[in-house]
Amino acid sequence: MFLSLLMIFFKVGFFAFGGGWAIVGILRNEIISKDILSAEEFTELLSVAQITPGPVAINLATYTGYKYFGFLGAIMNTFVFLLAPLLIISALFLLARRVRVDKERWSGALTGITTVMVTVTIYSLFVPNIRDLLMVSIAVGVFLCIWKYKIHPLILIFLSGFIGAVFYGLL
Amino acid sequence: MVPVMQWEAKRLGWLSEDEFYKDLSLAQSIPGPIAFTTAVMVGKRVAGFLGALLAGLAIVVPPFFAIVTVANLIKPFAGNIYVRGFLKGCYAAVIGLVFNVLYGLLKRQRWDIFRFGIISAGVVLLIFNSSLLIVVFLGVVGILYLKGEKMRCS
Repeated sequence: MFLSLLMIFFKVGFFAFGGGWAIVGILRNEIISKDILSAEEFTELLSVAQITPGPVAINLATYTGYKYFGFLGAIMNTFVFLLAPLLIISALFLLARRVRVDKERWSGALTGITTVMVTVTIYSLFVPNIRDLLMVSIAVGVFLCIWKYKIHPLILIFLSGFIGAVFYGLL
Repeated sequence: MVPVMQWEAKRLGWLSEDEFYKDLSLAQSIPGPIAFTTAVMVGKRVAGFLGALLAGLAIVVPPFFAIVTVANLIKPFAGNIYVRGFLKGCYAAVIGLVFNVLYGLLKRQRWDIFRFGIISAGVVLLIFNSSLLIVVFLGVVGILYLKGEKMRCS
């Protein structure tokens, strides 16, 4: 099981364009379908990864490795996730001037695939896990607050956490 | 994170603004967390292979220990109803945050029926079966890249 976890993170490392959110949906599907984590455990891990400093995808890799295979698992899983960018950077330095890519077209195409993957992330975070109106309201409220009022996401996430603690804890 | 890196690199006189933006734009066009890829490339520029290695490690190690610490702090309370409520609230907020990421991406592109079709097809295929990732990735990137050329020629 540890090997299949490492393989998942190694593989998605190659597709982590445009910030971590593109791969979170794919990661969730793979991790849950291989029975490495339950849907509820993944929810918890993702929340912790987001509120802890550091890129969310690296945090997710570290935490998943740590939760199931301890300190060594955390190191290995973080490393395999970063292996893809390292390989590609090395390849770029070696091939430097031999590859010719039109930068504008390349970044346009990448924006396209990132849009695909981020949509999948939203779908797979939203559809199977959102059970009640409170979570929907928080999600919509946070989106509006970031978009309209440019409030810092971290403030909103902690605020939502407290709302969650009060509502789910007391009611 | 990235603006802080830029500010520090400039303050220390390691590289010009131009060089920084060159590294940053390259970092954005390869996979991996942007903070990490940028750090590795700036490290390489400033101090060669050793610089890349140290910069990469330096950006990974603090969050690594932060996660391990938080994981240990949270473990005894994993069953606590308030902690679970807190994390549930955070999770809902994260979805709102990702919505905003998607909104930014949608706004940045020039949409036509072709682009919309390709991207929708990719979304449907991936939701249907996430092991199609490689096929969908190559398909969408390939088609959009080639289409970009056609538009330019005409």
